[in-house]
Amino acid sequence: MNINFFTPLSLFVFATTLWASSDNATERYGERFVAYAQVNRTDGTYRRMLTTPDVLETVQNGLPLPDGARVLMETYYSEGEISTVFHKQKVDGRWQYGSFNGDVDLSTRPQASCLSCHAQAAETDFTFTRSALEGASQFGLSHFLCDKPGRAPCALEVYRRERTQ
Amino acid sequence: MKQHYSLPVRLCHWATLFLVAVQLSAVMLNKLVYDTRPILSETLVQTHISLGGLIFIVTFFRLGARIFNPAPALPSKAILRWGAIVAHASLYICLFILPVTGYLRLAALGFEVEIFGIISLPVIELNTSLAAFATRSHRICSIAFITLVSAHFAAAALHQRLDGNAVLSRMGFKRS
Repeated sequence: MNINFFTPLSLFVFATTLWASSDNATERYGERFVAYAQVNRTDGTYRRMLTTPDVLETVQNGLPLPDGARVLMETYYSEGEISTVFHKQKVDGRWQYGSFNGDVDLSTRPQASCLSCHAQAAETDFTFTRSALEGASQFGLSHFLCDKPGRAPCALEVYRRERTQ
Repeated sequence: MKQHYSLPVRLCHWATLFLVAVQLSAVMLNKLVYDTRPILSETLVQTHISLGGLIFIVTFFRLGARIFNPAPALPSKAILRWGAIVAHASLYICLFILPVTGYLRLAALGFEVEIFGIISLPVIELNTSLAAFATRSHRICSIAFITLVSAHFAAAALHQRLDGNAVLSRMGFKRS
């Protein structure tokens, strides 16, 4: 194993990221979720992407997102106010989707409307922010600027560009 | 000379028109609610899928009825006659291609397509290239279909106006 100066530094950043970004989410969802990306839209809205620490660890090791992996997307139409929360979970190698407003409901089922859009991210396991997941240990919470309004999906390149902050 | 299409063809024609109108409405409404009403959006998509399956079945029966029942005579002018044949054939082709590509774009992503929760169509092994091809084809075919329907409607209205030859009544239910 090649251990150099950057290895402990990366681990420190990773641990700090987990600690700093998980508190509110843990309280809200009743389990530990970590914010790894924020996607700002040109219409002033933004989304925060969260996942569980074990998923981040798996992805750091270059492995595909495992069965049971969960990703949450909090939508914000005004600063600090969560609107709909979209989420997905991998079940038997396929993604299932769900959403809720208000009371937390993390149940999922196959949904055509979600899958149709996520098909554009087929090369990254139907996950637009896969590169941000991989970069979480180096960059912490990544920020991206998506040039499309609303829930319209952005090109994968948006999430590979240099981060805005 | 035969004045009307057969009753099954006429019924299928107007049923198709109604179903296509609902399909287009569902697509347009989905664009409005997609951002903020995900559950309604999914309901609209599921409705679109089920109605697509129904259109496929109706078109299948309609084509059978069309083949086995003689149709009213086409215009005598060759250019008009061939125009009508090509337009009608293209409409039928679109009515088959649209449900098939709609099914493939989801089934090839491992999604189990259901028609009204009653009929489950087979899932295909994950094939993202096929899904992308089907998605593009569905989009192109839907644009072609809307264009053809507009031309079909315009041609019928024009014939009715210019010739007064009761083109519209061929699909009507009034006794002549």
